[in-house]
Amino acid sequence: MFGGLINRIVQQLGSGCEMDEKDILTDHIIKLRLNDAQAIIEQWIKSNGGQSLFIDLIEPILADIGERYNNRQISLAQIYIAAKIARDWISRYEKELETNELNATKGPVVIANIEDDCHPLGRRLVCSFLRVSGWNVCDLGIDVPIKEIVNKAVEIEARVIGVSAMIYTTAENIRTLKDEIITRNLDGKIKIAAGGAVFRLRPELVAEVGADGTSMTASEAPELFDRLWKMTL
Amino acid sequence: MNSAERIFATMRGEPVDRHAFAPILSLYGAKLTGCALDKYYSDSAEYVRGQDAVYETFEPDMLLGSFCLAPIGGSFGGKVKLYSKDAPNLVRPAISSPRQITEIKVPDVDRDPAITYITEGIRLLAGKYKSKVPVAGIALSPIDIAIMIMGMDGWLETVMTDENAAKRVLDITTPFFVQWLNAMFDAGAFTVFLPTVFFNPIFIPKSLAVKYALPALSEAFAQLNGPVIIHDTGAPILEFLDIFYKIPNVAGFAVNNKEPLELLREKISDNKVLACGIDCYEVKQLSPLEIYHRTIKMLDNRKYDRRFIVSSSGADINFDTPIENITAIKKAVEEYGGWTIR
Repeated sequence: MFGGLINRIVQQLGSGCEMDEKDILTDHIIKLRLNDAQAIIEQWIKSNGGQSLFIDLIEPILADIGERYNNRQISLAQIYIAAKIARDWISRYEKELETNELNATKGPVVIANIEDDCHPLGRRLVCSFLRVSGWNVCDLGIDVPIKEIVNKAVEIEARVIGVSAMIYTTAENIRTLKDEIITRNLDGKIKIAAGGAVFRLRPELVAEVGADGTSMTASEAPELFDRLWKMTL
Repeated sequence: MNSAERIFATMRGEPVDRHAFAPILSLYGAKLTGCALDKYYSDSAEYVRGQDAVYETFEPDMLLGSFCLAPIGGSFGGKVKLYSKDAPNLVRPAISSPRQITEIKVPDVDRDPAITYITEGIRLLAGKYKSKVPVAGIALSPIDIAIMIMGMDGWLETVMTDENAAKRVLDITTPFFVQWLNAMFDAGAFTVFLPTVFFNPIFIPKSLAVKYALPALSEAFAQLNGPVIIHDTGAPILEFLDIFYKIPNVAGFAVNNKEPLELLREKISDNKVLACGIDCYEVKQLSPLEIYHRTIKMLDNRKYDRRFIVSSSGADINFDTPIENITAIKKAVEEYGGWTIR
């Protein structure tokens, strides 16, 4: 949703990154001080305006935090804070961004917790990271019936469906999603990105349930979706 | 030795004829009796019939109270969904913000159907098997009860932004936890397994675990009338083990099979029970021969370990797991024998 906009603004503004504030904000995130992190954000907006916040502050921090999580230096709690900051920024500037002519979109894509899965945290994080990376995300929520997921993907012409499952039993339902895609002659036209704790512990399960890829962290999801989108027919 | 003698000797670190065999077979009883899960998870007598079938089929050294915790979240006000081949799950927690905590109605441990179903099941099992097979309960720590009430998002945000609100939540969950577990001990449970969701390095940093685990769990566990075993639900726990082993009434740890057992043992010292086994997903997927060999390999690793129990890691053993896969674990345990003096 905002990817093109972000790139254009980066080109227009140059780097201009305030290292001190970035370091302080990163430190608050790492130390789980959400209130202090939010205070830094407010201070930044007052001095520099809201739109530059993402490019100069949030985006480099998300990249840094994502890398630290991949290296197992931090936990999901810190990712949660970083994603919350990004999510709040989107909510706050959504109207301006949607009406901005520079706005470019990727997607659309459909995201859901697969049928029977009721654990929203990871899905919400992935949605945040996709949105700030420029994806138009249709988030269907938790425990979404297979047919509803495919119907929505067909309706909005999504070429990637992201589904989340926390445990093995619910991950098995992704097979049914794959079967539904095949039955409707959509195989190859729609790719499945699978996520959730069970895939982190057992990556081999991705292929086993018929999904086309996974990412170990929410911050890596945009890259996965880029790759899967390109693989579609 | 019978199962009770074997389990209690293991807890004391005394010689045993063979390692104890205690996979998580709460759900599997329904598969063996063919009982519909809505009935299995609401009728204590049906649950006990399922555990009778588990005992007849596998003769485990420990029987389990029902691993069915979501309906208790339902009793707090959450929405529960039932499944045909798995335990119920919480679709929606009771509240999403600590501001709503005053709206919570704490279930009565002695009257709430979701709780009495579990304690009555333990009472019936303990009455029937106590002299030969110990019965263990399964519950949640006060902090994981908080997650059950307000969801992981709600709880995470609360502990990170409002210490007083987190304390108010724990002021509700701690007395409930103490009453609930003591009701299980009164019913005849010799220990209670506590699957931990929050205390997991994937979710939270150690600093947060130390801040909440040590004071909150020390206070709660000190009021228990029996020991607990911390269960890692199949997620990494090694990094946090040194926090838990200092907490009163922690008798041991049920751990995943992905982290080195020798390091896990080193962290918890020699005087705690260590339970581990093949992951429940792999127990379903692998061949009986592979399961047998992996169990033997694990037993070789624990050759000198006097407090080791062969269990299964992760959650409950899957409904569709072939019987012979579980029997393969038992075969390996029986053939291997007990621990050896170094």
